[in-house]
Amino acid sequence: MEQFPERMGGKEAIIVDRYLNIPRQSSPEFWTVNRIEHIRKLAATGRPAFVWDPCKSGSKRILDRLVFRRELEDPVPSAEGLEESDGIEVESEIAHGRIRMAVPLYLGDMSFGALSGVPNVALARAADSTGVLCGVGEGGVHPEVAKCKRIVIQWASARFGLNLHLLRLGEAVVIKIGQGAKPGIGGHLPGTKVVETISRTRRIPVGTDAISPAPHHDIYSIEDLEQRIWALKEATGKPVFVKVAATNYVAYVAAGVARMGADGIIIDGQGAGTGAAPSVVRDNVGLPIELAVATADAMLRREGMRNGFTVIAAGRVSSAEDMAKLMALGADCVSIGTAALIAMGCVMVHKCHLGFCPAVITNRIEENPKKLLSLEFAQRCVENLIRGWTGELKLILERLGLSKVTELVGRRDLLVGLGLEEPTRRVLVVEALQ
Amino acid sequence: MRLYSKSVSIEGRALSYLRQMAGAEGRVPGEPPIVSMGSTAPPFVEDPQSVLDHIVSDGAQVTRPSIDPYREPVETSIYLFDGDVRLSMPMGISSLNDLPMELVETVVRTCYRMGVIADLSGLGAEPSSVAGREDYVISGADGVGSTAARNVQVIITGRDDVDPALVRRVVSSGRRPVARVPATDEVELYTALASSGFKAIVIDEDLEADREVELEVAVSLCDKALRSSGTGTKALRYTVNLIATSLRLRGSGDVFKLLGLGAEVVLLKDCWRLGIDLQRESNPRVVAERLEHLLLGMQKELKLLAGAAGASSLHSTVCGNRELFRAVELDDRTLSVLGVKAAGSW
Repeated sequence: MEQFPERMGGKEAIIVDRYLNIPRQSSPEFWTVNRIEHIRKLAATGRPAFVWDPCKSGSKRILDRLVFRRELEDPVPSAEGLEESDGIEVESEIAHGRIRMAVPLYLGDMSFGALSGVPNVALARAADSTGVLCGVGEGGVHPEVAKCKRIVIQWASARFGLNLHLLRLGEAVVIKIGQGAKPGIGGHLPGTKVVETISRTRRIPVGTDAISPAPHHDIYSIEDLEQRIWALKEATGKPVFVKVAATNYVAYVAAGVARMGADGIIIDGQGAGTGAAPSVVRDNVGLPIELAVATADAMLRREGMRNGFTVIAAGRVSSAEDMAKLMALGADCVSIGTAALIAMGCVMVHKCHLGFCPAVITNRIEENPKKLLSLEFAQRCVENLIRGWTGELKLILERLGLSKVTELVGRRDLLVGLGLEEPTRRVLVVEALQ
Repeated sequence: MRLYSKSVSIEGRALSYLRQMAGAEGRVPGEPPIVSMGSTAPPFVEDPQSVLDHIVSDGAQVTRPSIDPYREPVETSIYLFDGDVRLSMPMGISSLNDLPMELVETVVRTCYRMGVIADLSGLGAEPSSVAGREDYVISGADGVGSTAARNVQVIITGRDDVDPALVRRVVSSGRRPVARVPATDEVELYTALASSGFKAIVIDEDLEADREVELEVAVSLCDKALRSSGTGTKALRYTVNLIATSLRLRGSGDVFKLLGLGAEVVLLKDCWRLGIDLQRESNPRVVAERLEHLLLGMQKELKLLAGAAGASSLHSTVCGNRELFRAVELDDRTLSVLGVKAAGSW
């Protein structure tokens, strides 16, 4: 019981091991019913469902209006009956070759507190069993997550619950400067979700809003950042990533982060998920990830700092095709958060900040919970999602005529823009469909 | 000349956020609404309804720090009329002309208490509560003949209406001439107004003109034209305040973007009335309380946006700072009239 502090109390709870029906979406939503169903299919079977993602049709997102030229020539609709070819290599190395990835996927930085414990453990264990990475987010580390190997410890502006031992636990450390859902604003865990367990993990009083400082008060410049990067490298011996939001100057920020010795950058785009954020910031600040990755990649290449340095793209990554397109625009790896939550049963009702998640993923941790997410179910669904996703990625690579996923990075020539404005295409360096 | 139609209804999310801040909905009045999971904002998910919907603001990080508006000060006050009048936030309340006089009196008092301006446009009679609060109102339709208001409104629809003699008469009566004009790309009108001595220009998108453009485009064109007329502090821009208003503005996101494009004050029309639910609530005490809550909530939202962008003062760092913004999916011509760069460009 001590390993699962959020389960203390002991009363029998209903164990949730199936999906809720997807509610009708009465207003526009990026995570449409089709997208949710696609992810559920992968999570149920562990097998690819599509080659080319049909959910992009009708979407206004820029990434959805980029397509691989190959799809126009060969629009295979479904993966049904298609054999996964063996010859496609999806392994890669990141952080100057120091971390091997079975597939370049990162389960994005969702904290213990924002998620209610079981989902944190499921994500970390799924990362271990599939050979990807799992960022633990800001807010201390769940004791069961701490036993996992392929975790990335976050060093964020409030330093909640951190000590040297925890910093050394994972494969890498990430300095969190910003996140896509609220660029320029610190993390936010509403007081209603700060219960005894979270209070102990974060070392803050019960019931108080945990609002992290907007900036790191010891990082007010690129020089400060360099000192923190090297201090963390010396203290932990691990690679150090810097996570930033996609903002106006993201190309310069990426160049600065690389120049100051970080091993990689996680760029989190507009529209990314969050446990709680002010609506005005979420809806008005930040750039879409496709533009940010394209511009950061171009700047890093111009400055001669692209080799060995890892660019991880985050924010609305909903399918293997999204991943492939972001890699073609210059990412080495992508981060998924919402997609992983959907695999565990999230139905996108946008209630995380209130603490009564119907899918018991982001609910307030109770002493005697009525419902608990099944850890086995959640872990299996995430593992299956990763497997099915990898299968779809292989099918896409095969059709693109590539034998290694690493060959895809920066291949903008494979993409073509559908009805994009001229200035957008100049940033993407992608041709328009003639 | 317009990319989007003028008529936009404030509904759904936008309406709910306003009501929550006003206290007409939810349990945390006067606070920025908190939400979760990914945004559904335009132009990426919802349909864009205006050029403003294509503009995104900056989040400061690494190369310069953001400011933590929960713990550090972000200055929201705005100085008008050569520093004579200090507003506590860059907003005003407009669209009062069809309200019962009792409510107008309340709104004027509330605006004064909150340090924002009340716009009496279209109002025939001047409410008695103007007395003692003369600096914080803009006079009604019959501005020139009004009795108390110090900021005297003159409605001007084209360059031919600009009458320097009238402006001089208003100034010599110890009051401040304020021009109210439609949103047009005729920049000569703006420079003519500033040159003839107007102390403020209200660009009102709901007035009609031959060469109409979006309010955001007009504000940016006006700001840029006045900044480039004359040099340094002699530029016309420093002799006149720029105020923007439209029925379609939905909240602090729009206000912040209009400030960055060049306005010093944004007058709220429909959005405050819908936010406090004026259709169902006419008790002056409740209306006053909700209006205070709404303004406080919006002020905090402006602080969040400014702090996120690393700006510690709205007036000195945000107003006219188009570099804070980038635009997503706009064509080259619109980018150039707005003076805003494309998202992702260096």
